[in-house]
Amino acid sequence: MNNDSIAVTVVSGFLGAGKTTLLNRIAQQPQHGRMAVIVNDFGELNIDAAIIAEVTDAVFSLQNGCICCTVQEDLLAQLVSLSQLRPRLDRIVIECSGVSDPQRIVQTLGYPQLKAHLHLDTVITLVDASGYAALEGEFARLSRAQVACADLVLLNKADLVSAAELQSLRATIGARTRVISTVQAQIPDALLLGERSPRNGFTPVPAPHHELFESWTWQGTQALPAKALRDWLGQLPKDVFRLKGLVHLQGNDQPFWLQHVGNRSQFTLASGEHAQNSAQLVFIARRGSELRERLEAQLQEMQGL
Amino acid sequence: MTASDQFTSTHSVVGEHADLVLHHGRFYTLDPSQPWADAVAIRGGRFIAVGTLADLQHLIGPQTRQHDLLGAFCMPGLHDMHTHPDLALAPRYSDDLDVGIEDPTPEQLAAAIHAYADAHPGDGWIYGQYWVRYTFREAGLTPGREWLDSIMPDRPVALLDRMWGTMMVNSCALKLAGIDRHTADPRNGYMERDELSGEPNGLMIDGAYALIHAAMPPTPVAVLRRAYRDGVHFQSSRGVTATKYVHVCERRLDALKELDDAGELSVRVEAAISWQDDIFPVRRRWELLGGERHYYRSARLNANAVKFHFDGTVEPKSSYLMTPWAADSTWRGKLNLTPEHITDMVVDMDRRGLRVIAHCTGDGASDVFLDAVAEARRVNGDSGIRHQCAHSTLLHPGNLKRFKALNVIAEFSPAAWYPTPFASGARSGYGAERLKRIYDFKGVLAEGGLAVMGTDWPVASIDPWLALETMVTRQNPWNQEPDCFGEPITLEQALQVATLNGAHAMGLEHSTGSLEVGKCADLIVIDRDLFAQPARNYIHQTQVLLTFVDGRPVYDRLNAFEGTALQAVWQGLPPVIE
Repeated sequence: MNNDSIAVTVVSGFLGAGKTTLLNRIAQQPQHGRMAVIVNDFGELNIDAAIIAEVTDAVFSLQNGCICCTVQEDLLAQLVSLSQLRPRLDRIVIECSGVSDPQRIVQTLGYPQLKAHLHLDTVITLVDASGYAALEGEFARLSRAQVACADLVLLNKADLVSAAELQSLRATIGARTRVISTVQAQIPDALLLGERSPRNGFTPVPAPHHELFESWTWQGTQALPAKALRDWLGQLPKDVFRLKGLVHLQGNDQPFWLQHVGNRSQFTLASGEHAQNSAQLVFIARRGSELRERLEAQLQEMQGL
Repeated sequence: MTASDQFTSTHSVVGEHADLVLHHGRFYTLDPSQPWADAVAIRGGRFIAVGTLADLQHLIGPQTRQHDLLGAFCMPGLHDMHTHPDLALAPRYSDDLDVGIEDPTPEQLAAAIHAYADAHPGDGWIYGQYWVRYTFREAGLTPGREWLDSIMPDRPVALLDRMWGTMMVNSCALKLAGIDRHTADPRNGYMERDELSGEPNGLMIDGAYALIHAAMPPTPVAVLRRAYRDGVHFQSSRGVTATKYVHVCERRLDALKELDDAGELSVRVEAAISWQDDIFPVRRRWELLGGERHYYRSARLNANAVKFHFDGTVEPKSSYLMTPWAADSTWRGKLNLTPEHITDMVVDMDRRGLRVIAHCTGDGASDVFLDAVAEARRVNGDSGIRHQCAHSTLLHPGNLKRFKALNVIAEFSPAAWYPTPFASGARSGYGAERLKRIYDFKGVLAEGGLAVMGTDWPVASIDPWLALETMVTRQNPWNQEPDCFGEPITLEQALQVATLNGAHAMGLEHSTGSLEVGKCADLIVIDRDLFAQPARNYIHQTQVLLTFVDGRPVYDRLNAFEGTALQAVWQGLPPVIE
């Protein structure tokens, strides 16, 4: 794993939820560096065993998990060749087909031949606030899968429903997920796109007052115990959108890049990286959540200080 | 007392009269010298006369049984040259854990595991399906060995994800499979691992399943036998008299032999030994290929074939094509084995008298396969063995004539040769140009090649009449939509594909596949004249009344021979298996 690893953003959501709007927004911003967009049109109906079994026109699929039907070889190959492009890409954005579970793409990203070149940054699922509640059957299950796989859920078209409806939707899908209400998929870049190894060092992300988030950094002085850190990450309040940085873990000489978004943490060995401090973390949290003091106290405690 | 054997050999005593005469039928014979007949006489399992009742009157003696067909349409039995009843049915009969809930919560999954363990005490494997990732996320839990250990720490557990991509296993299963953080990932999958320790976390992705399957006890022979039994029962009741079970291991052959010994193998079966372990492990592959396969041989069963997966499939675009899948990409798909591996293997198997059946969905895969057969012909001379290109979803136009030249069978499977919602989505990856020439029966036949059909259940329906109708229409058999995939062939061609060509593909063209004197009496009696109405929405509704193999009814829908010496193995309506 090298520090130039390409960030991969996976965008999922049903047709009409606003994926294209979001993609256009990401693609039109040159400051994000060299970017490739993959539209994954993987056979829309062939999404899982159960759906195929429900197709009654006497067409079935192997139910024993026959491997020839599961590996997304084409996506794998496409990602390998994109990762070899020079000059190197900074980001790959994958738009999932509407009727698909992004987990499948997330699993493809885990292939050993890709892990050396790229990493999953964020899975973003767009939900059409005006249509979610009406989904039924397999579509309802699929949209639950899309929401559950997401690090961030954009509750889009929020202007088309009443405040009460929005509140009820947030309660339905947001029990454990970071949900942000949007119109036209408008969301600050700092939430949308993570940078694992910050180009400008560890500084808070600029957060103008009109933005919905705030940002700060924390410097630690001691290596952290891995288990306690992981438990703490697993319990982070929902108002923490992102957390990134470089940490020393007890019992390891080399520091690790830590990237946390939504409920998901990734640790990656930061070879050759010399951290000035034992831990440097950049927080991005909902404005006004007033979490800084509490979280920093917990980290201090974890350091045994 | 059991019945004595009745084999025939050079000096066997032959009676003067027919054992059975079927008359007042409308026999479509597939014999160009006499395309139609209205009566047949059978003795010792073979036709001794085909013609009119008057022609064969002299063969009717006092012991001859006569059966009036009341004008019914008769034809040679159907040949399904590629199917897998074991893969379709064995999982259903395996008594594995079936959670039975669309998207079980972790709590429901745990309850199902405990219930299964209570019902199956001991320390055996708990293997089953399905779980889904999203209910774990919704519950704030992480699926994997840690969770599974908390539910069932002391028995090996392996559970498949409903999306197929993942198998969740516990620590006990990993231990039995000999997996730890030093275990390498397979080429076609990987183990999810803890980022810090490198320990597998119990989520096996794609091809990593095989590491677990290898440690599990194989499917019991009794389960395989039941699967094959129901498979041949259905096939006989739908008029199939010869078939190929493409993928077997020693246990599957044991199951087939048990059926054969019990007199229940009512279809002629060619079984192809798997070259790869990608569906199930074959533990006695080299013993079987070396000669152990002969142990299973009878008039109904042979294992003189070997099957391999050369490329992938259309849906994940892993079929190996001559040109890139999409104009803006270089992706051509994949070969699972090198061309050199295939060439040496085909040459070797050809020399050993084994038919090679090669899964080739892309035109690039079949091109390499045909090259390998050409090399086998050059090295070994003409062995007389017809090798088989399986599925043949897309063929290079330049290869159409090579099927005849190299004596290779072009086998087509109906999974998507006609439009359905599934097929239309899955096949869209080909693009419009390729879609016009998928499953090119017409092209192979026009070049004098041998084309056959194989239902490939459970990828498509095992009902051969669906395949037969859609060969002629290439349209959806259930609706009136005008869409058509590829080029249709005539009903006459389709009937030859499904009968006589199949006999060639079995190496049985001299003993079955048409209604001719000297051939085995493998024929069917059906409820309709196939030529009487347009094929669409007509042929697939055909009901089979009687199926004969070796001159005896094996299937008898109306119990016409019940209580006689010719009572069929299977009577009544066809079983429902799909």
